[in-house]
Amino acid sequence: MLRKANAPRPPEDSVALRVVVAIAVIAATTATLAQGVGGSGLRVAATVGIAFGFAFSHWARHRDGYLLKVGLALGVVIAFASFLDAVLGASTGSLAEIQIPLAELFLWVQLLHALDVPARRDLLFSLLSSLVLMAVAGVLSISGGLAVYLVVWGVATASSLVLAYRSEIGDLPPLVDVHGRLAEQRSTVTRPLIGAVALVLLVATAVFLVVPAAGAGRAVAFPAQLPSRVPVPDQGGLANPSLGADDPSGPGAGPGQQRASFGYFGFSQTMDTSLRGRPDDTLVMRVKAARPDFWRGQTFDLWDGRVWEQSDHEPATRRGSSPIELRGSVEDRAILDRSASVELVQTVYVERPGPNLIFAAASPQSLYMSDNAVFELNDGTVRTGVELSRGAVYSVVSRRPAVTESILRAAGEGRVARPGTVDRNVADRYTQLPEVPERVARLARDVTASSLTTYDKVRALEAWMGANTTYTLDIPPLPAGADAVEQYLFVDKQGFCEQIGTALVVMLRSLGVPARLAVGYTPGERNPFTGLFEVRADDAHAWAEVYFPGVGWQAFDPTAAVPLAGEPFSSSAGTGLVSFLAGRLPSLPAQAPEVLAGLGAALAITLAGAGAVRRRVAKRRALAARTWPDLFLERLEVAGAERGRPRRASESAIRYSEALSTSVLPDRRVADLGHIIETAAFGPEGVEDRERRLAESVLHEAASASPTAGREP
Amino acid sequence: MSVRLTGLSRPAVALLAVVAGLYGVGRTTGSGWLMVILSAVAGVGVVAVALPVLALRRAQVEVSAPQDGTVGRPLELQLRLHRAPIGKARAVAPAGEWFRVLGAVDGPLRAVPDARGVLSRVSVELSTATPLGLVWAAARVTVELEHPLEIGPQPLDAALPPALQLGTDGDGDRRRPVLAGDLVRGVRVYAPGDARKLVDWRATARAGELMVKDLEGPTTPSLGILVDLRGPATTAEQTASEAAGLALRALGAGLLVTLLTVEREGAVVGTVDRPVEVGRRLARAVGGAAPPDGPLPAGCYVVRVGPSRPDPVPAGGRQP
Amino acid sequence: MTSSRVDVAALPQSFGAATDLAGALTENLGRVIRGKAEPIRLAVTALLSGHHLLLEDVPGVGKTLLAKALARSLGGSFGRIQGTPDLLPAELTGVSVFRKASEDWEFRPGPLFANVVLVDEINRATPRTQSALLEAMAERQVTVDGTSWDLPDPFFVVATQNPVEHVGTFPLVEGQRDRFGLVVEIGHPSKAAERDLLLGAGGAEALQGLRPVCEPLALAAAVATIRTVYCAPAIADYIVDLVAGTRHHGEVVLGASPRASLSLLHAAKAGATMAGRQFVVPDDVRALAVPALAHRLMLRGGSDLATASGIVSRIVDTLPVPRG
Repeated sequence: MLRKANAPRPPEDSVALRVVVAIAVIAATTATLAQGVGGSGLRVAATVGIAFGFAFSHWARHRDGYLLKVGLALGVVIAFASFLDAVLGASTGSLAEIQIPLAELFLWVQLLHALDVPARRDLLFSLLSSLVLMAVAGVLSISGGLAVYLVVWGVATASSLVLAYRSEIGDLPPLVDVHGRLAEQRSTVTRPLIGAVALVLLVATAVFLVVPAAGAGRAVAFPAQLPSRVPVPDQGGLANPSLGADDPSGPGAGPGQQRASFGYFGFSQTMDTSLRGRPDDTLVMRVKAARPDFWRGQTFDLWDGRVWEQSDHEPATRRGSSPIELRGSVEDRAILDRSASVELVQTVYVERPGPNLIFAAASPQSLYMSDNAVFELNDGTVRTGVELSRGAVYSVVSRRPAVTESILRAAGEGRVARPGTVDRNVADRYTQLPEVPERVARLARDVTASSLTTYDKVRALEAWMGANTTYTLDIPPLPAGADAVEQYLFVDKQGFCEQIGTALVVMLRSLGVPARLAVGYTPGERNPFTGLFEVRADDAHAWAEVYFPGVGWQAFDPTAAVPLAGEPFSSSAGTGLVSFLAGRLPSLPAQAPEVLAGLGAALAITLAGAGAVRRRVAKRRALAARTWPDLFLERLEVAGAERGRPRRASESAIRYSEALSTSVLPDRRVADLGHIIETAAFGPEGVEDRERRLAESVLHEAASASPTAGREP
Repeated sequence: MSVRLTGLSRPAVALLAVVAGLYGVGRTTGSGWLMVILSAVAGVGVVAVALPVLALRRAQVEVSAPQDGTVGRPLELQLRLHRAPIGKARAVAPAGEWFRVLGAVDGPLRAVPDARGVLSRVSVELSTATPLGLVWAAARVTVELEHPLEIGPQPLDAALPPALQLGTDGDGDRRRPVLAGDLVRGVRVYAPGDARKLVDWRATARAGELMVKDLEGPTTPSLGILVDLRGPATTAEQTASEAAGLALRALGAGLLVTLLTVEREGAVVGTVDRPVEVGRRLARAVGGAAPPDGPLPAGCYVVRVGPSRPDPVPAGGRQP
Repeated sequence: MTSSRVDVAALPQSFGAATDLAGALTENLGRVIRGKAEPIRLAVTALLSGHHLLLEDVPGVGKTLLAKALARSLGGSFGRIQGTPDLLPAELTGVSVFRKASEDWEFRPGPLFANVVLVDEINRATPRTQSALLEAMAERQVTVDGTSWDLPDPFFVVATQNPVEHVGTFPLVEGQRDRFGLVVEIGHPSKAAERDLLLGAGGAEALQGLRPVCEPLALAAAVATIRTVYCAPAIADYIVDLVAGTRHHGEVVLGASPRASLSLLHAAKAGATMAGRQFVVPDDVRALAVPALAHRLMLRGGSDLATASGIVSRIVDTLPVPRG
């Protein structure tokens, strides 16, 4: 075994194979680089260096480079040392911190290895390491931009495998046929390659749709990073720079400051339901989670008929370091201590600067952030002390009691909570109402008259709203002095999430059911490739949360009766693939690096140029080697074939021309052409130019006299 | 034709290891792209396993064999492949080296037999890992031969018995033996037309007129070879090779050669007049019983080749 | 009988004369053998190529007649040998006879010493006699009692053989047939020709009336001229490929030898001359491939001229023709 491993391997001569492997390796390295690994020095070194390395390996393939191997080993040692240095110097030992230096290490190893790939086996191992590098890029990537690299790399890898196999087979001796010639024809590479790639794509898609989604098991990594630490002006308060002039934290923005197109007025200390205008579809964040859920930002408990407000103005500070442990609201804690809960781990990648809220599924228990302190309100929602701008990442572990419909139905029915209990405090706080219009209260009573349990009451109200009102973004403005709920239910009969949620909360409170309004984001569209939920600004949402004694807060969204985005979530990796692709035009991501484009163009030009030059040289050489009888016979053959009488390989020119003259080129002079050809070909002195011209004109005349038969079937 | 998977190429094994590792990484980090990549690799794996098998099933193989061969000397099986994939082919029985196959092929497949005997079937193996070269599948095709392939022993160079050491005369395709078997019977008077070299000068001197030698009729000397293949296998093979060498040497010298062998159906006595027939007779010879000792043509010199060499006097034969 | 070798280089080489000679011979033979243009053409080709001819066919179709007609057309001497099992080599070559009068040995030449020698039923002679004949054909000389005597120039042997009989025959083996340039099967005459024969046209009577069309020396000159016909390298490659094809064929145990390539080339040159051309074209080679090569192949399971001819024609039909 040892002997075999060290046996000298024959050097690989195929340039095509080397080029294709180089393309695959470069695609993988640029993919990794595009994820932000390494500085600009590494960028240049990687792309240029790898191309140079492969060229050098090809040139040096017959040499036995001991010195080279020693140098490369040294290089690997240095790279590993710098990796260790980067890792040990990092603050935490979490997996997420190691990823980038590890990727850098892989890149350096790949670069060094590219200098020493003489044999085919080395090239294939290079390909394997490019797979690892592509996987590293895949792990680091959170956007769809990796698709381009993946396609290039995939095609290059498939081509390399096909070419390597051809090369391996080509090393074997050929069969030699009857005439001492090779009994094989030169078969093309393109057709089987295209077939193989198509089949691989087909099978891969099928597998992708079936394989369980990543991260469905226990999560080990909790990524967190902050690109900049700009503290919020009001520590513990809410800051939302995307609201422009309406930013609650700041006089910093001038009066003329526009609200950002993706800003949502719900992420503020008060929510005025008379405000109209929705955010656009800018991508604001990406969430990695095993299940979709509403990413809640904050809740409101005080209603005055038009505006929601929060009662808690002094959030508590929570400190910690990876993770920061949160306590949650009193009622949440009480319930989680008692009953079984379901855990959900989320990682949020912020794309646009927004409010300093931690968006997470209810209710967050641990927070992984690159900051040591956050502010927790008494409803369990969290504000950060620093601005969350683009590139910020945090992970949250949320817990929620395991809930089914029957549990909700059975929750605390008929029991009146005793004073001082948690349930009683919740009921008191969250049934606060101003003067509710009589119509509204009466409606609530009428609709829920026949409902026995709280759950049924909620459902009844939802059903009524679904049947009697319309969900639309375009509603008339709220007249001054009007009650928002009354206006929505009886006058406009149309509204969007704020109106609907508010109406549900108000009606439930009027029945004595504790309820509040939550604001946050709907899950967003799942990108089947990255596995992340892409949350856009127009996914901003407001919904109702209802408290069930003994069970906890449960979200209800009447707009579920209205078609919402989202299909039943199954846990295979390829969920949503078809709708995702259908909803997108294939568009190149904006972040395609210049390197890739330049490389691709350069490679295409070089290949095309080389191919064209080679073809032209070969054609010229072949043409120069061909004699007049050969060429003229070919013209005769073409003329005959076009008219349905091709020449058999064993048919002599004389016979052929005689056959033509009696069939498809009926001209007696054509019969002599064969003689002229053979005299020119086999006679001692050939044929004079004059006779050649004569023969050519005879053929020309005969050919124009008789029409072509068209293509033979 | 039964198709079976023969193995993974070394890079394929490494690929499996890497993929297992990546799957673990994917599950822990929860990366969606990694699942895409692994799905693609799974696609590659399925294609790499399925296509070679399917390609071999599609292939049509025709094999024809020559009728004779010699141990240690390459013979050519004619291989005709239709719709064959890119891969390699080799002869299995008799054994040969791998040759490359690029699609349809019609050519000779070289094989070197290593054992004497009669083959009623030959087999050829076709192997491919098309198109990705990761997993190899092979199919073995066995063809019943209409004429059995008779593989003769590798001839060992042997010297003719001294009595039959003959000179050669002239060049050309066959050496003509000098008629050493002729005996002088007497002398007689010269008759016009007698060859000058027949003149017996001594008799002429004595008689005073031209006298010529009177000869026995010319006979082409013949050699009978008794091939005794009883005994252990290695000895039998050695015997067969010696017999082959002797017979070939005798044929080359222009003698009439008769082989006495035992075949599966019984004893066989027959002349051989071409090297090919020597190989064939010895290919078919087995060691089940004692070889026959006749009948032999008149004046035949007999040699016994075998484990022991007693020299019985066969009927009709004569000893030097 | 002319017994000395002719100095061919001294003779006038005229290509046109050679063509004319071929035409005259063909016409002459056509008077005797009716309706057999192809065998006549092949016989003349063999003659002009300088190689010997073997006529292999069933009895009674005119093999002897053709050979005799050839001899008469050439105007040279004619020797006839009937193959019988008791034929001795000395009867072919000749013997030294002691002459009492001069107290010396005198050489009496045998029937081999003629311009055209017909060896009828060569397969009935013993192998020993056959060898003597074939050696004489190859070396154009005979050694008797230590002295070598040259055979006349031109020296052309027409041998006949009946392939059907096996009893009491010694059929020529492939190595011996290799010495013949062409093997021709005459075949039964067509109905019209056979009727003409019965009614008195052609046949032995016509033979009596044949006049020679040339002198033996002229034939020698023609043969020498034909050897100088130009053959392009591509044609030579074609011939080599053809012959190589016979060697590599699956059914063939022993293929044609380089001697065969040479004899095919000479025959092709003769064919070109007969067509009036001073250079060889592929059609010349194709037309003569079967007669020149089929008899030299040793096949599995016995050599059969029909099968061998089939194999050679198949090779000719599949091998691509050179394009120059």
